[in-house]
Amino acid sequence: MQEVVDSYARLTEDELANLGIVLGAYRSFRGNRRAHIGYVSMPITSGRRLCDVLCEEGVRTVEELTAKCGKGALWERVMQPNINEGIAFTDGLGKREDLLFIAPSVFEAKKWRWTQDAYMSLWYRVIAEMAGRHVVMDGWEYSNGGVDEVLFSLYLRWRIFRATTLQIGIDHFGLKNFLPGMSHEERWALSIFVGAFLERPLLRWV
Amino acid sequence: MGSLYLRWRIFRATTLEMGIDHFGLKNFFPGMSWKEKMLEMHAMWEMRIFDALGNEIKLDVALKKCVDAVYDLRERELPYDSLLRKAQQIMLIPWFTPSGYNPDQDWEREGFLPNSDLYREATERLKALPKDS
Repeated sequence: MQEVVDSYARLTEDELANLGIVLGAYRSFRGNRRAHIGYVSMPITSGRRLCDVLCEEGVRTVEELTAKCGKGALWERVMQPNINEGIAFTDGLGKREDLLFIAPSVFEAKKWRWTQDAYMSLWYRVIAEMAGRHVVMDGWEYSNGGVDEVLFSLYLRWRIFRATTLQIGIDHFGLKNFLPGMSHEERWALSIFVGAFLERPLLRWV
Repeated sequence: MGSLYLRWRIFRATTLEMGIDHFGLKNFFPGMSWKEKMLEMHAMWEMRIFDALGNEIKLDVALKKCVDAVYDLRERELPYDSLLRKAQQIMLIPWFTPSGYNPDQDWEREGFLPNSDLYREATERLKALPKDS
């Protein structure tokens, strides 16, 4: 996940400000949004189509593809068809079900020179705050963004994000700088160990 | 109370903090009271993922799909490290949840299905892969 952590840290002040403006527009929809809004994951810069093109050209990366086929190759052979397909798929969903669907490929912020990181930050928030349903296109597992978004929704579904957390320890018990110097994995392993260790005596106690 | 909080796994490494760190959710739910945030979170937990045909994609299906894709990329000699890491994150999700350490947890009854054969098989296949492409 390090790349996701780094990607947010890389957002510029301008990107953060613009992110706030776009989210503000979404938040102007009031009422029961989740019951009426679905988010659609679709490949844009990667996906199965990119894998097929790379194999066709006998290269392994986008950089190698660009070097071999020119700067426009990614746009013409991967991004543009992905975008068109994504929009058509979402329109089809809209006809099939009486819901509003968000097609991320429709939104583009070229003028703001948004990076991939800025787009992803926007869509995570939109998924969490607005959508009650997450639909994925076939081949989502080949899309970098698609897998990240599914992982994110699974984190929601599995209640990984909880209000009752280490933050309570900080607020209620002054545990600021708790377990300093430990990696996330080490802290996680310790929390399991402590919970298991305390289980028996407390079960007798309560 | 502190011990009860530990016992009930209130202090968890995998929390909103993780959302802030990993997904850039800083300043999430701005201007909301604690109670409003709790209600929002309960609503968030109702999230469901569906494929193009309308079938729900639960964790085991998502994991299998990603592992299949990793094997496919490997066979086509394309880089797969990034997808492999994400599949590992999906695989670990049950361990990030309350009582995730408990092998007897009836996840199937909960509707999550991570102890399904699909999950076990995908996990084994994932573990069998070399870490770097």
